[in-house]
Amino acid sequence: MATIVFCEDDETIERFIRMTMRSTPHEIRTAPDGLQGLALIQRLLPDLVVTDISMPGLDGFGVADAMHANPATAGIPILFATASVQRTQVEQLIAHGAAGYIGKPFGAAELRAKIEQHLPKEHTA
Amino acid sequence: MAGSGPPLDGPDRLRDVARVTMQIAAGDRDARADIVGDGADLDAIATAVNTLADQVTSGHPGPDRLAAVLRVTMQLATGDLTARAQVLGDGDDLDAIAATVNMLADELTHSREALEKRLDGLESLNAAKSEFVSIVSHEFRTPLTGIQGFSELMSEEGLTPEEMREFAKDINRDARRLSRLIGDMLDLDRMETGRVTMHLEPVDLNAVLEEVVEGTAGNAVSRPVTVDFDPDLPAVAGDRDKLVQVMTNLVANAVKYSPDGGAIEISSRAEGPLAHVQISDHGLGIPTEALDTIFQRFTRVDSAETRGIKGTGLGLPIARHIVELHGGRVWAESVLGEGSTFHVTLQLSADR
Repeated sequence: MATIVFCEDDETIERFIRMTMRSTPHEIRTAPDGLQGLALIQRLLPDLVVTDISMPGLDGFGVADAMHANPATAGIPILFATASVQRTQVEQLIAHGAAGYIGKPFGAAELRAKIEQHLPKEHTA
Repeated sequence: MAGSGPPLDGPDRLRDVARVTMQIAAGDRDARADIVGDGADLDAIATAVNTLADQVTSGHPGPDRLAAVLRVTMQLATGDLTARAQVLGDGDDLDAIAATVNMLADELTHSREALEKRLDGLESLNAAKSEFVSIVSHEFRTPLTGIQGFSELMSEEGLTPEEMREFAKDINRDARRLSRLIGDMLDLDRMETGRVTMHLEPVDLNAVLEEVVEGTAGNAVSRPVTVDFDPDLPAVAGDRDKLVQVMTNLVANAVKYSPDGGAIEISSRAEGPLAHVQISDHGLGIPTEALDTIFQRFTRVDSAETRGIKGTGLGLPIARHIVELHGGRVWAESVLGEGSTFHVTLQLSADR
């Protein structure tokens, strides 16, 4: 079992993520914005972080940069969930240390597969 | 020309006049024969040659000047629109040509500047279009993720009927959100491209406001609405359906952004040639820097507090367009954390 933190400001998508991940053995925690997400990440030290990019206050890039600046969280893989994956943005994602990204709209099977793919080996189902 | 020294005579002088004549024939525009003034035949011939030379040179511009005008024309032809030919003002044919070439160059310069300006305009229009497409696709993808995701979950096994119903509700809500977004976008586009005509007639604004308040009362049970209408408010010149749309949007916003129990006040009064409506709430308030931008499309105030308050980001831009098509004005005042007041002014109807 792994702990995964999701930062997502849209309630519908946040609910969909929780419903989708119910059938997995992982512990799922969600935060409605970057700041609350970061607090959760620093407290829980999860195995994987999935974050939206555009969020009020601290955005997804801000979350990633803050995680990299802290040795305790620097090694946690980050997946970006974004509705606008363009070439320029992929470069930006890499610059912010993304392990990968998942483009909106994403389905349940796709979300689970991406998460399995990026979870550290000892946790994969 | 003979230069200094004693005047030539006899065969020397004859040779000299012949040489000068040959020079003139060969194109030397400055060559002239010496006139001694002795009344000799040769002097008369020299005078005649000089007169002839004067006539030839005055009727035909020099090759240097022709070359200069040609060079300028070539510069213009190869794209250097700063080149201009020299105009001497001597009434010469070439002078007229030089002046015409310059006029042509001026005209070309103006055309090029006008084209460049239009190109700049088209480029920024294209950039705005790209940005709009990018924002719209982003706005569409969020409800689409809900529709795609929840319908996928519904097809999975082991769901209770209750979960099924919940997911169906989620899908329905997101589909409505998409549908509203598309409707609003088309509305706004029709207005921005001038394809909406207002059917102006005398409208009782108080009656419009009453209708809107009744319509939103269901959503606003816990938010008391107080009205203060000017009973003597004359009719405004308006398109009734469109004014209902504007007021519904503003009142719905006041409800949406108010906490439970937050009072909403709506007033109307006549001010000179205008009717002035104010819709006040005691909600979140709007940051000063956003008071203008909220009337631009897709610029909802994004904060932790507005999260969960649904909107397409197109309601206020539509309201502003409608009011402006009426020749009126809409604007907002706000104190952050205390509430906002939206103002609308409309022209009173001339035929009341």
